[in-house]
Amino acid sequence: MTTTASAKPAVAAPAAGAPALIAGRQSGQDAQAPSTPCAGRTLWQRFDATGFPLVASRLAVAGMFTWLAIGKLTQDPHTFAKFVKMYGLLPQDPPELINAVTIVMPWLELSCAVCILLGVCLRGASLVSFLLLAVFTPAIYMHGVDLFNQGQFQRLWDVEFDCGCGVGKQWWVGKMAGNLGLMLASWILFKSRSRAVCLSAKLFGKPIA
Amino acid sequence: MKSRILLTLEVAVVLAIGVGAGLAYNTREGQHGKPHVDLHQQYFYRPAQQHAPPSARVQTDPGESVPGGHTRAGETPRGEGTDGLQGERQQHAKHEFSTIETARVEAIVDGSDPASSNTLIVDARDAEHFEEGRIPGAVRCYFSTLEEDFQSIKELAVDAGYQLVIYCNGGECEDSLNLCRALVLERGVPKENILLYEGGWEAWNQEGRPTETGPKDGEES
Repeated sequence: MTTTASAKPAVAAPAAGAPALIAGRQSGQDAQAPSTPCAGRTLWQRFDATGFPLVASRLAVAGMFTWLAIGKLTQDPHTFAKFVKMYGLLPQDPPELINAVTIVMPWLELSCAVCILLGVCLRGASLVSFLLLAVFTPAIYMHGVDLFNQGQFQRLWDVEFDCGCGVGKQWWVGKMAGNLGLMLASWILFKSRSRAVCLSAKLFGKPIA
Repeated sequence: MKSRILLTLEVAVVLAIGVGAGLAYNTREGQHGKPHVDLHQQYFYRPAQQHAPPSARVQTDPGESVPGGHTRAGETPRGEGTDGLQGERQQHAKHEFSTIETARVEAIVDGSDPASSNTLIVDARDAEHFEEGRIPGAVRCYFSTLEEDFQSIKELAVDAGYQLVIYCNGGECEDSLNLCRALVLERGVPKENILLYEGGWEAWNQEGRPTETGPKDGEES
């Protein structure tokens, strides 16, 4: 009896979280379903378990943030300060606010990129990158709309300006799409339970989800 | 709970690395042996600000002849924005400076304007843009290197009470307006001596007008 029960654990003791479903099933084939690796998992969880979304998002966010940070660091820092001021997110007085953001922002992007690429402090870095994008993306949206309303461009998708991101003039629509994509990728990094190719997983073993 | 503490710790680590690296990088000596960005320096000026140290002001003889104190053909009175500009975009919605049209700048450059001999054209863009192309005869004065660049303007024009025509890229560029305010508030240049060319480089660099490229004589690239 003991041997039989252990050979068919799904029938004798259904997986937690799906008791009602198992009780309602008639066929023996259905009753064995919870014993499969994907039992009780959503489509996203099964996809996430492959590690592909995590690695792809890491490469995208880290690559883009590195590119943007280097672009800012190689130009005159005062030029970047102009763009920080342009968005009007911070008051001009005291000047320390704009100047501090000018000094710190490229390095904050770079530290996020390095952490995300290596897989160290992954959730923290992805949250910081998401918040940075969540602050600047609406500002870029508003600035593009303002330029369009000023009549400088005939169509909304013609709007082109230097957003101060460190890569010169860009199409506003493209920039918005890119930023929204990066926000999605950052959110995937934050929510993912996978730790594929992560340095922290190698160093500290299984991470706390 | 443990997960939240760990997340907070991770965010703190990322922020600490970013802030620490940024501050450390900024302490490297930039121009004039100062940090790249002076945390306490106001780089952007507004008309209401009056924070210029008295010692920094240029003493101008009140009896000295100061050109540009009145509105001439091709100029727009200060406070009226770009209403007088035709075929050029409106950039600075409200400001306190007189403006100048492309046609009059052209006349100043080719010497046909009576004020050509006592007018200096000032390029308010950074060195890279300045060397890529500028209005002939223009000298550079970028807001981040104002201390250094102002010396040449002072010697060439300010001390003699010359008129300054200041421009930048045009469009949404505000470097020229910022420089105008910096000159008035920080360096004591009379507002009447300043003309803002709002069309800027975008308006000038059309219809085959003459340009200059490369570093200015005596400047390093």
